[in-house]
Order: sequence, then C-alpha cells, then structure tokens
Amino acid sequence: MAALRIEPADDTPLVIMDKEKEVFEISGKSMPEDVVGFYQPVFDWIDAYKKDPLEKTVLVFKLIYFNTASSKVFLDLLMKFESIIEKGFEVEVKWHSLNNDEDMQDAGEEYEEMTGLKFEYLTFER
Amino acid sequence: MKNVKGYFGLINDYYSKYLANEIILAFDGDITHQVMKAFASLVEEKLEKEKEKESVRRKVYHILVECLQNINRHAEVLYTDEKDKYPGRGALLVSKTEDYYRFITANIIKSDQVEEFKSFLEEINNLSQDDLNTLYKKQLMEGELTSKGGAGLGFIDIRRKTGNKMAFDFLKNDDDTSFFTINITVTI
Repeated sequence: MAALRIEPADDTPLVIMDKEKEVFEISGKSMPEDVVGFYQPVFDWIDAYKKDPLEKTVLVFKLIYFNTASSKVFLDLLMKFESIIEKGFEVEVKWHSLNNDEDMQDAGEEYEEMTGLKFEYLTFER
Repeated sequence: MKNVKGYFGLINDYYSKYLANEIILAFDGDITHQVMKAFASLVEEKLEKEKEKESVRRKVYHILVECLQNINRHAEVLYTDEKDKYPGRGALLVSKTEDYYRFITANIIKSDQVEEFKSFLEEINNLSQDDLNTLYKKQLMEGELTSKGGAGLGFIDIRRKTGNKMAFDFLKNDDDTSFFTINITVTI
C-alpha cells in the first residue's frame, strides 16, 4: 500500500505511515488549526492498513508538544491500532519524551493505561 | 458592541490589583490561529532568554496555547452590525510576579451558557489532583471533538497541569451576552 508522509510545519508534526519500510511515526509539534482535517488522512490510512497489517507494528511518538485537541486525536488513533491487536497482531508504542519532560512521559502512561497497547518509554534531546 | 468598549479596559479595572507586576504580554483583538502561534513563540523565546526553568517554560507555553485557542474557538461572535463583528475576539494579559506567571483572559460568551460553564469551572477547581486526572481521562475517552476542534479538555488540563485554582467571573454585557474573565497562575 502507498505510504503516507506529511511534512512538518511549525504547528503540525511529521507523519510517516509506511508499511513497506515499517515506519509509523508522529514527531514534532501538534497544534493544528483544524485538528480533525489534519489527521483525517492518517485515520483513513490506518483504516486501510488494518485490513492487512504487519505481524508487528512499532508506532513511534516523538513529540515536543501537543495541545489538548491533539491528545483526543492521539487516543482515537491508538484505539485504531488497538483493534489490530484484537485480531492477533502485535503493536508496540515507542513513546519518546524530551529529557525531563515529565508531562509528556505522564501522557504516554495515561495512553498506556487507557489502551491495551504495550508502551516503551524513551527520551531524546532537542 | 454596546457596553464593552475595550475588553482590555475591563480586565484592567477588574484585575488592577495584579497590575503592579511585570507585564509580559497584553493584547486586545482578534485571536486567530496565527496570533496564537506568534504569541506562544514570543513568550517561549522571552522565557528562554531569561533562563526560566524548562518545566515552567513548558507549562507557560501550554497554558498560553490552550487559553488562546479557547478564545479563538469559543468567543461569541457578535453580529450587532458589520462593524461589530469580531470573530474570536478577546483580551489577554500575561504578567509575572516573584512567585507566579499569571494569565488573565477575557471574552464574550452567550449568557445562557454561563450557569453550566460556571458549575464546570467550580467543579474542577475543587477536585484533587487524582480526581482531575480521572476526569481528564474520562473526558478523553468519552468526549467528542466538536466542529470547532474543541475536546472539552482545555480547562481540566490547565487546572491539573498548574495545580492551582483558577479565579473567574462573569459580568453581564447585554441581554444575551456576558463577559467572561479567568485568572490562571503557573507557579515558578
């Protein structure tokens, strides 16, 4: 299936959904003016991917900032990946936080708690 | 607009007791997405230059984004006549004391929304940190994104991330609208 790549801007993240290269990443800042419109192509891509996913999907979140509207979208997005697990596939989330960004770490832990997904926590430098 | 000549004049009068401190940002006008981004960057750069603690800088940035998006998305558009059309109009005052960064915002809302909104703010003001986290997760699970892109999470998140109670008030503007102000602090 065709890869999805959205280049980053000052208020939107880099998004890569590439089954062939096995890269599933959202990184940077997320506070789009139209949060629903921005993430719609990502939801559409995941819906198509769900029909024939990889044995193991490693989802990378590497965000420096996201607003509360984006936090709702991320939960919905993670829930879509969770539905893949229910079909017997494996999904792991690599949740990155900037060094000492406790709020980002906490956000990951909340998502882990709210979804059935396995999280690994990593840090990165700006 | 009839009674509210300048929103900023009103917050000035209303919160004048706080105005002895350093003013970081003061604005009265249309809060567009571009304005939100510009102000957030401006304040972020200023705090970085002043070597403010990173955790405080992150909180200040987040509160600013959420406050400005609230105005951008929820401030009532008053169509009294063409000249009085101010989509997303509001005022913002960011100031600093020895102990706090203070954010005061003001905008117009419909009076029939006041009671519900007031009870909501009173409720979250009185919740413990644990209860705020629970409420946030509940809202995250059950809330729906509105067409305006709101998820009903902004004030819950502001309250739990700052850990401080918010002071707010509603003043009657005209028969149908009220002037909403809120005072949020980030402890340094």
